[in-house]
Amino acid sequence: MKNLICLLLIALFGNLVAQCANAADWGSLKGRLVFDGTPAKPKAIVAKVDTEFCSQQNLVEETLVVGEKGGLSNVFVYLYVKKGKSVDIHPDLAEPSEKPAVLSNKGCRFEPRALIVRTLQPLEVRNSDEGIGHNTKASFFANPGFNETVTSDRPLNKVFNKTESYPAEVACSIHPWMKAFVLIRDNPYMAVSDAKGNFEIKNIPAGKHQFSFWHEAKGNLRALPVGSTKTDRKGKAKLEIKGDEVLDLGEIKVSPPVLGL
Amino acid sequence: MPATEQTWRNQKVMHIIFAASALVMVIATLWLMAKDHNREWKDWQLANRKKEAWMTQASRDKTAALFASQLDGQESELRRLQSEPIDPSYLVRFKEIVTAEESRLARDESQPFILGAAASETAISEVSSSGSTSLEATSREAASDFTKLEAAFAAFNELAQAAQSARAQVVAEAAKAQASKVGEEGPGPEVADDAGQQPDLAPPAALTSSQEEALEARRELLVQFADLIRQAKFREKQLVGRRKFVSADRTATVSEKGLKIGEDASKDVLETLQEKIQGYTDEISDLTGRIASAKTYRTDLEGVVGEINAAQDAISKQSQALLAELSRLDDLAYKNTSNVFEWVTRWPVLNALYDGNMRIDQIWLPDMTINYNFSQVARFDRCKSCHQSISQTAAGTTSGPAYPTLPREERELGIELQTPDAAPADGASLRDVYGLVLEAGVMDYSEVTVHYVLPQSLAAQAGLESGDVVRLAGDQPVYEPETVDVYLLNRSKWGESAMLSIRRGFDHPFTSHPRLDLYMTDTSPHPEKDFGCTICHDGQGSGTEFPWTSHTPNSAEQQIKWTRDHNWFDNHHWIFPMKPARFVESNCLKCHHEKGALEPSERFPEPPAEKLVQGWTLVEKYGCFGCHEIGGFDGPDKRIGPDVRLESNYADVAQQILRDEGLSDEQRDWTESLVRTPEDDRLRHQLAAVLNQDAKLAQQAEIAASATLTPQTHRLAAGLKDVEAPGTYRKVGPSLRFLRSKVEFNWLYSWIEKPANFRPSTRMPQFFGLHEHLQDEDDETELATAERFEPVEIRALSEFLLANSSDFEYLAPPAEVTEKPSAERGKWLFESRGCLACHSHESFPGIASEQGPDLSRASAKFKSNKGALWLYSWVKEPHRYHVRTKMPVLFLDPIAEKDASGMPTGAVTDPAADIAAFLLAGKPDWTPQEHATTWSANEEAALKDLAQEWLTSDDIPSARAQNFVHGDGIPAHLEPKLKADEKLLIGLNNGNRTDRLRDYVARRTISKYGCFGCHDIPGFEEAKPIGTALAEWGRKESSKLAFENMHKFLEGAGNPNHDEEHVAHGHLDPADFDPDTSYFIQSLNSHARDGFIWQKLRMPRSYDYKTTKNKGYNERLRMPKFPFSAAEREAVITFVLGLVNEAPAEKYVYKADPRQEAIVAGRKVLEQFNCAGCHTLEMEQWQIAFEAGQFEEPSEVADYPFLAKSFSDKEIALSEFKDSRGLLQATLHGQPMMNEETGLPERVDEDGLPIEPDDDESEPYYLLKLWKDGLVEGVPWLVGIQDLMVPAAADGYGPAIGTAYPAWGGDLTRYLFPRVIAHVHQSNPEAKGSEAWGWLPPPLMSEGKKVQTDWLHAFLMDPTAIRPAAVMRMPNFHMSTREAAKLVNYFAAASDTEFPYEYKSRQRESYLAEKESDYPDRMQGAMNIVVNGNYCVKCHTVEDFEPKGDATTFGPNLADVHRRLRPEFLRNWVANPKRILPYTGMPVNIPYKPGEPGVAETLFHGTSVEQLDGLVDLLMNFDTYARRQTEITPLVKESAAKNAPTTSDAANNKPSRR
Repeated sequence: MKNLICLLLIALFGNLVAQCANAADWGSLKGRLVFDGTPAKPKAIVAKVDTEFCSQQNLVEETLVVGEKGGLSNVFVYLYVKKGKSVDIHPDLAEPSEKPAVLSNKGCRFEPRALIVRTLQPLEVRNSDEGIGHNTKASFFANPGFNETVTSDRPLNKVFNKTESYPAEVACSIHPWMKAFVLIRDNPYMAVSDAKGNFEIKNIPAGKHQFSFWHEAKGNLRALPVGSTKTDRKGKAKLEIKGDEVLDLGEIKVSPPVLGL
Repeated sequence: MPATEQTWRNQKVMHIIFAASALVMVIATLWLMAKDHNREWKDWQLANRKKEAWMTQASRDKTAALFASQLDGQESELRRLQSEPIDPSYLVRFKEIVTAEESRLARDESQPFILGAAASETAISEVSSSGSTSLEATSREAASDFTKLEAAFAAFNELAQAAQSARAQVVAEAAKAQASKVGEEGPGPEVADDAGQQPDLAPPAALTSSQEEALEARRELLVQFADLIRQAKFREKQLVGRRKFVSADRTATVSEKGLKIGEDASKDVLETLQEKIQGYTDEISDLTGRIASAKTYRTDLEGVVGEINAAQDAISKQSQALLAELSRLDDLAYKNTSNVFEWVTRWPVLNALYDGNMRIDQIWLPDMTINYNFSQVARFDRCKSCHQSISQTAAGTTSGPAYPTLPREERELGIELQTPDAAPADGASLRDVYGLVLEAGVMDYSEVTVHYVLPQSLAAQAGLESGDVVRLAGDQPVYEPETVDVYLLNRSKWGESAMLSIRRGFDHPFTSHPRLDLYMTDTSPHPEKDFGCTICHDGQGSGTEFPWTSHTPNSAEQQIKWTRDHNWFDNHHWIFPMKPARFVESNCLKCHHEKGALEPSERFPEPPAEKLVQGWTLVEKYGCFGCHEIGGFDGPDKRIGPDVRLESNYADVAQQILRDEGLSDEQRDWTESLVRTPEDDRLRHQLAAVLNQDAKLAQQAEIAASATLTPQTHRLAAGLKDVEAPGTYRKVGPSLRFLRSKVEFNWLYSWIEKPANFRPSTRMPQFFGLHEHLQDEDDETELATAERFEPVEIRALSEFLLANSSDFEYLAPPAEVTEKPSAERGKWLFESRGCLACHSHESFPGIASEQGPDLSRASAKFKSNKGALWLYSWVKEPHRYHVRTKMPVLFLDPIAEKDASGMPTGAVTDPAADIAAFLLAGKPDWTPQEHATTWSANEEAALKDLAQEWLTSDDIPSARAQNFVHGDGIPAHLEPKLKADEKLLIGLNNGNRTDRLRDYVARRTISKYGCFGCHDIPGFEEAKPIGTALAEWGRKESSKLAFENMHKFLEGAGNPNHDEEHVAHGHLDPADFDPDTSYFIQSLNSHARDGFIWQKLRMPRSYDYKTTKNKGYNERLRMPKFPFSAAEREAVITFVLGLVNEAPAEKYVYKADPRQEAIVAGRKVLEQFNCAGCHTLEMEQWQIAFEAGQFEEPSEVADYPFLAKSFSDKEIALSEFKDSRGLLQATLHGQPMMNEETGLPERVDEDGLPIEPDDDESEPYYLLKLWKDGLVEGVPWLVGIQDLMVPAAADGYGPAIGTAYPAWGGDLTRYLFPRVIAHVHQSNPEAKGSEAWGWLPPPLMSEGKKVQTDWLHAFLMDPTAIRPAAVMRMPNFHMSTREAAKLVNYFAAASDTEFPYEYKSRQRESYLAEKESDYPDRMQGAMNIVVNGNYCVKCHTVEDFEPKGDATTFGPNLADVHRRLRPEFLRNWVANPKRILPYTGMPVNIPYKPGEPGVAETLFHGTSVEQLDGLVDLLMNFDTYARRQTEITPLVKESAAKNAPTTSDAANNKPSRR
């Protein structure tokens, strides 16, 4: 409420009103995503292009990557903010990192498969396969897409201004099996589950928030049991973050139907 | 005789007579004047004026209501701004300027003022210097005193601070109040989104008074500022005055010197004077400098004060604009209201002198004449006298009608008005609660009208509009506003909706014309001042009374109403009655003679004449012109109307010539060539000459034997003659020349008998079994005759067509094919190779094209062995069977099958055989009735009788004819007198009788029904169309139409309501029928053309009712019945009624500019070959309206500067213009994102995610992918950068507000989109669905910009494979070079680019040489990029090199690009392909980096721009590059001289060496 009045006054009087001190509390969210089933053995990919090189990379289908103890990687978890609204950002995280987020074309696949980038943080697309031509085609929603050839000596550098509502696909037209997903947000409250299925988002302003759960196999993860609640049709769960506390969701079981399998 | 007092007549009697006659005359005069005064149109005008005044007043009142709050807001905002503290920096700056000026002046003063003046001239210098310095001194003195100013400033800022903190307090309190309110509702999440909204509270007195004080102080402060500025101004003025004075002195001295010179004054005097002049000159220049400084000083001061006041001034300006608009509306309202003066001038007699704002409104059209039988007379169209608002546009629009003519369903509306949740305060008005203001009626005082509706109010949300007449409040009739008040304000339950029944819109003549973008307005193509009304509508333009203007009712109901209300009657004597609403488009044909000019275009996306174009298309589709010539020419050049005629029959004639075995090999070659290219005039003349020469030989008895060709062939020479203005339409039916090779007798019999037997959707009309007029008992004999002869005709026709057929050589499958035909493979091929672009088939319910026949039942037709052989040949090479078919060659060459890894498996399949197998698969669901192969005795008897009927003529009486038929036929000696058909009957005997009679009857039958109008039938190459020509049918005198016994028929057997009660009373009352039918029945009643043609199309033989008794069988009507629906029939009638041969003066006839002409001509070819079946020719056009700020601006992208799109100021201004709804408009070309599985447009939520089927909460949007750069709210949105999220219509397809005009063409592409993805995914799961558009036929919106004209022409004539990824190839249509040229020109014209030639400077040697002078290895450098493994060769074939991998990602051969693409296109394409094809998978290879290389400089040295340029130059000059790699010299044999052949020497004839 204090924030509300504060914002109201700022909007009305701009700089004339002394800066509203922000004494919000901050908390964290963590959890582990577990695939609740037996994953099929990933299908091998037959490379028809650059066969000599790519066929040695033991390429497999990566839509579903399940690690040890069923850890489901590449799930995007992020704070949902309604269009036209914004969220308080912890002072330590106020400025986006100057260190670029790196997306590498490596061994005829993208590394990493799922990537988070903040607006105004540089994205560097590299080609680590020397002599193998790659192009990177990204189709965003709010930001302009691009499709450029990337060579090993000339990485692409991109900066994005607008926040995206969900991860966008990045592909290579030359090697059609290559795919990655990039989420661009104007706040730091996002994470991708790692090889063990773990994710953590720190320094979230205390309060009730909606968090989106997204995976490439299905998009929004609908009806996913998260803590004591379930995600809605848009893959969002309402969770309360308390100051100076970590909300640990524990194991989040992702059943095959949730992933559309 | 003496004069007497006596008069010849009795005076008294005379007086009485005179008095009486004078009285009569007075009465007559008054009557005449009264009649003249009380003209009908005056009433209409008065009523209209009343309406106008009312509407203006309503709009004025609404604006005033709206502005009131705005003005209030502005006033308080002004107060707030004026009582805000002023930044002290302004004061500092102001003082600085003053101080700087002072020190400048002080500096100037310390220097001697007049530098060049002589000491002796002190007087002058004293005057001037003291004058100007003293001036400046005074100003300085005053200026240096800032105390007052500072004091005023301090005083103001103190008060302003106070006022501000008072305000801040008020706001904070309000915020607190609001926040606590929010708090009660629970802790809001992160943010307040309405932070910008100000608390809506009345300012407390404390704030007002402190503001007042501050304002007073501000005024004081401004006075102080103004004082200083005034001083500066004063000084400037003084200096200017001084300069004037000195100038005058100088002029005087100059003239004085002139005089002295004349007087021969001494040198000294002259010198003194010259010095004086010099002194003045110097002073003037000095003063000029000072004035400039003084002016700068003043403007600087003013600038500071201006900045202080800037915000307030802006607001004041806004207020002034609002006030000006109000006063404009006030003026308008005043002008529209009749005043006493007008009222007086409308009195009789006075009205003749002053029109009192009522006058005949007439358009005089001296060049737009009307035919008064004996002469062409200028038109006077007075229609506007009553239709006053006809061309009035809605305020703020160029073509929106002010008073739209609403369709019936939009005129009577029920409005659901939401009531507030709680009861409003006592005394609240409708305006307070609902934003609704009511008034007594506009046209009728007993009605209640909505005066205006406040925006965003409950009434506005319910959709009430100004001018709506409230008829019912709930279920209570409304006669006074109080009824509504009571209903809406005294409710028992609140929060529910209330119902109002309203009537919207005005009746004629108070409405505006529809489509003001097309008609009436000055910006439209038909401005009223140039075109008037009657040229389009017909009717009597000079009339001013309803009945005399020849209005035509659109239905019987309307006619009854008009007769009752307006004394309407059918004025037979006026030969141009107005067209009824249903045929209003007919008259477009007077001036528009090409269909393409009436079709939707980019400028007019809404079809301008939909019904007419539909009718025209139906005439083309059903081939009406095969029998009814529609000539559009009067002489070779003069156009009189649409030209829909058959093309010259050269190809068929040539095919018939080929039957002659006497042709030499060379002649045969020529003839065969002519069959393929009938447009080749040279060849045709050559062949005609051969025939004529041979015919001459044959005529000369002594050398007749040397003639090699038959007399029949000789006669065909006539068919090769030149034709003046030849027709352009091909016959619509298939060729019957090789019929025997295709179908069986039984099928053919059934088909001819009734085509719908086999194919219900066929266009072939029904000729037989049409007996609805022969159902009466007394027509039994006539019916029996028909039933006896018709089967004979059908059997004779069937047998004759098969027997008369030429031999056809079937195609055999190629030898390399290893696989058996497969229906399963064939099904996918049929779907994906383009067949569905023209044909429909029940296996593919998602798409139905009508270009070709429905093939669902093909197996029933071709189940025989020859049918299958024929089908294979046809599918593979259709022109082999039918040279003029529109069916193209699909390049169904054998396919070497490949496995998953792309290696050939060794299996070779034959797609043509597969497709044929698919079409023939399955058991036929229909079989034709079996018919005996021989003639039965009864049939033979009937055949003889029919032959006898045919033979019987004035020359051959019936009895003799009978002898001929039953005996030995026609004696041979009569041969010279016989017609061709009759010659068949020479030498009849029992052996040949049936066959000969059959052929005779069949040939006569073909001639009778005109089968050759649609089909190529051997032996009928020269036959002429059998029907009435239609070029003037729209004006055909109805007395020339044979209505015969139509009334009797319609009253009885032909009554459209035959089964209903109406038949009982036996007379025909139009009012008994539905409006559409009633119109035509009425029309038939009054013997009008439209009724005649309606019945002719509906029941073509019905005009034979009760006439057959006195006619021979062969004289009966023969028009067949076409399967038209009622709407189609009306469309055809619309077209035919427009054929009037009344082209107006040249300047009115639609004349396209060359570009438009190319488009119109091209459209015809596009339609002929159904290009739009596969290709998208125009993307969807979305005309949307939206609120400002709806679309977030797209992100800027750094790209090559030449890719930027610039819009004109006018376009930008237009895109920022708000319409009367306060909405902005944008026109966008593109298509929404499609679902890859369903192929349907995807509805997404506000985050851009597809809305799931069970989600009914999310607001729907479409993600519109742009295909043309567009402007949205002044901001350019470029192709390929970002998609627009357009709010979707709640239900149905299209934008929430606005219209989505459909794409032109591309149905098959859209149909196949999800299917090819699914198909490709079967074998290649990784293939990218988003790129699937690239596997399908490309859209051709900007094809002209893309390809070179000569390449495209050659490609159309002989298409080659271009894209390896494509699932189907461009087929070969065997079009003529003229048709191809029309298409090429179309594409160039449609994309607004150069044609027929374009100059390609990039391909000139001189250009390359210049570029290479700086960088000699430039081409090689570019080649380095091409062949580098990272770039082009990754996906493109280059000459002999082929990339490896997935064909769906491959691009065209780069070695061919220089012939195909235009240089500019190629540059733009390589620079950023997505900017041209949004879906493309091709990446940017040379990214734009200003001043830096885009690719490694080790490949090509230079910046990205230079690298791109180099690459484009290489690709555009690939042939030159390749030529440079080729050496010819080594190929030339060395020492040519050594090997030279020996030659003879002229002198000694001996061989010698040269």
